Amino acid sequence: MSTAAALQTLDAEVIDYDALYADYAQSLVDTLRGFSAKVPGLELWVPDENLGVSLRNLLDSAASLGRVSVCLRLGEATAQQLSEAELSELGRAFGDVRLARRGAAVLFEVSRLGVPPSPSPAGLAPERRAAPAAERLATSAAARSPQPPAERSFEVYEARLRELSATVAPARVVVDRVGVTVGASLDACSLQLVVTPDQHLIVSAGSHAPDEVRRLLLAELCRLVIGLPLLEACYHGALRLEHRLRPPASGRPLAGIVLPRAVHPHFALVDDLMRGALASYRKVAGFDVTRGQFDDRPRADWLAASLEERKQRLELALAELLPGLGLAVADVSVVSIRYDVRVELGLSEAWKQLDQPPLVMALERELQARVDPRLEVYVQELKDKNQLRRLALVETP
Amino acid sequence: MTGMTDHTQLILDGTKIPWHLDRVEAWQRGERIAPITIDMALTRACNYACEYCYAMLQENDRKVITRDVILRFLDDCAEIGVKGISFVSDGESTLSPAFVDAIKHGHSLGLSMAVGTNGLAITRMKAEEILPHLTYLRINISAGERQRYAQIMGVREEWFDRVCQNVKDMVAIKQRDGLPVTLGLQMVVMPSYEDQILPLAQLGKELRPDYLVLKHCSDNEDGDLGVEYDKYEALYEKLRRAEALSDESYRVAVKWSKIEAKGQRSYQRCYGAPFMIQISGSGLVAPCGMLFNERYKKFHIGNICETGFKEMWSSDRYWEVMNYLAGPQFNAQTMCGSLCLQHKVNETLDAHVKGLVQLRNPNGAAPEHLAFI
Repeated sequence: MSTAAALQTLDAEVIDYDALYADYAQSLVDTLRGFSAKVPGLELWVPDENLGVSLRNLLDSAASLGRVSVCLRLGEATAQQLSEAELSELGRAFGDVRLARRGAAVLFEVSRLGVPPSPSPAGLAPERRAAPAAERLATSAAARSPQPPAERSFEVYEARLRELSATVAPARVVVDRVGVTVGASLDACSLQLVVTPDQHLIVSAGSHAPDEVRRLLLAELCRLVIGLPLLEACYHGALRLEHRLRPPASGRPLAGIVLPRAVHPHFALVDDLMRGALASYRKVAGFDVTRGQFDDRPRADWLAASLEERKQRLELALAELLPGLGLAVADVSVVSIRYDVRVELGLSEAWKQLDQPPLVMALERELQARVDPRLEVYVQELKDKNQLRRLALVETP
Repeated sequence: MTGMTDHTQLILDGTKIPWHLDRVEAWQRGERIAPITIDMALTRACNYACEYCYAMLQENDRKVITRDVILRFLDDCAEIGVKGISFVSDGESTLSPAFVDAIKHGHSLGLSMAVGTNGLAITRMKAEEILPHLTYLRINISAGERQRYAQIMGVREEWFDRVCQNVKDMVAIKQRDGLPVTLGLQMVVMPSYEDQILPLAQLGKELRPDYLVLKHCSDNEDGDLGVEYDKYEALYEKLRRAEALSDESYRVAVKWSKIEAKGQRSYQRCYGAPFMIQISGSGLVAPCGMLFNERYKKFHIGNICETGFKEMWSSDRYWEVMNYLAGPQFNAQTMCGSLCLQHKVNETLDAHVKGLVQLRNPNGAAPEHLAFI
């Protein structure tokens, strides 16, 4: 077929392939729902950097969706990627091919589409699975991770314990409080708790240990668990204790996830004593609840404050801490405070230049330390830019 | 070889974490473990507009995952010990120009590759290319009748016919070549879709995939999608009737454990994220898809379009975020949406850490799809 002849007969709708490709690429970023190549019959098309693959996909879509013909205009740069012979061969797998030149561009028409492509077109024969590399993967990261030492130092925790013991009176079991007294013993250490039978709250606690370090540790545990539900104290007591004792400057004690039992055997002791006490309580009081639902509440002064007062406290704290983080006061605003504890912050354009996630986390830590430990910090939600179909909180554009 | 999946070995409502005890033990020792499974998308774009789409709540800074980015990412995953990659998450990955190459490359590296898709763009030609490289392919289809399909999924009615044809083609290819790939259908059940439960189960029986799974719909912590978990109970009888349509090579399974949980969690710490992370179609790496939105910026770890995944995984920032979720200040009961991807893993690990259950090497043959926990 001569190009000149083809020029005479091409009458199909001409689709600008380059524009279509560019539009697709842009839509991948800005059209999140209802995405489509926009041309009828090409809705299944997925382009490719490789022109041959891209055109094959396009013709496959057109044929699959019952389109009779497709005529594409390939711009000069695009057309140069494949010879006329290659274009013809590609098109013939789907129908009759006609090619024509329009200046430096090429018109590529494939008609009589609709004959389904061969189930296994040349070059697309199903490949057999490669031999699994399970053996290689089995070595996994775990094998390459540093092995923990048999026992880590407890020094940093010990120093903190001594500090705390010098300032706070030890907790003791008060036997005349109404409650069920339960306890547990292990390695010559013991723990006693008094638990209210109605709410299962720990109202007093006492401990014994043969050495000073564990004595201080268990005394601190007792102080920490008084007022907590027994279930929470058992499930997360050791975790809370490790966090309370860990000096902020010392960093995390483990490379991966910090579970207290892995940090030091002393924390495993805490865990085991608490579990023993719970087991004892279950037996004595017939307590069979396993689902913990305790949630720390903010301090009373925060709860008593009005919304405006809370906002002022946050703004005051932000004004103090932002310069230290290299930010101006105007770079952060308090947008909302919901459910008493969820603080939503608005961030200025200046934040775009910053590594935002760790900074937001740092802001949260600081606001917890300066305002209330229960605060949660979030930034303003980014709304979906598309028409939402079912959201309960539909917003009009 | 028949190519049919052994259904007795397919876990559709549970977790396979007990089969990864070596990694659980490393995690307990405080070592840096690689995720077993990564759930991700290659784009945030989607050619559908499903009513229940959680992606509407996951908006974040948009970037493009190019072919180079995804291939490099897969190299990193294989190197650090990731086992399975599922292209599901917050976009329709089949629309990405890198989709086919990513599947082939991941498979060549020894990674188990899987896809969750609406199935529209998987023509027979594309199915021929990808099915030999996949562990499973799951079609999201939330209605068994064309008109309701169009309503629920926000598309033209003809797309229902096209997707059905694509499923038929995939089943035929699998049977012809004896491929080990598992083909599934998935219905996101909203109480108002009750009328479509049985028609879809029946449709599946005609199309002959390996299974149809019926699952709950997740919602965020503010309940913005308006999922009414109390109304699921009224569907139980229909769900059981749908299950009864199972036969020896087609299984209808309901995710009872999640539906009956009514959006509630038994645990407060999120321990599952180091085993199973999620990546947005924008390249954003976060411990969980429910934290993709910019609102949860403090949990964002990085972007694979800008930083290599291996570098990110070994960074202090990655483990700072993971530790936040496992720390005393985090409460999944109040800070998270409902029934997340990691839910079953979280449930199991939490009970293990609390000493309520003891994870042991499971007896008997390992289930299918071990790389997808």
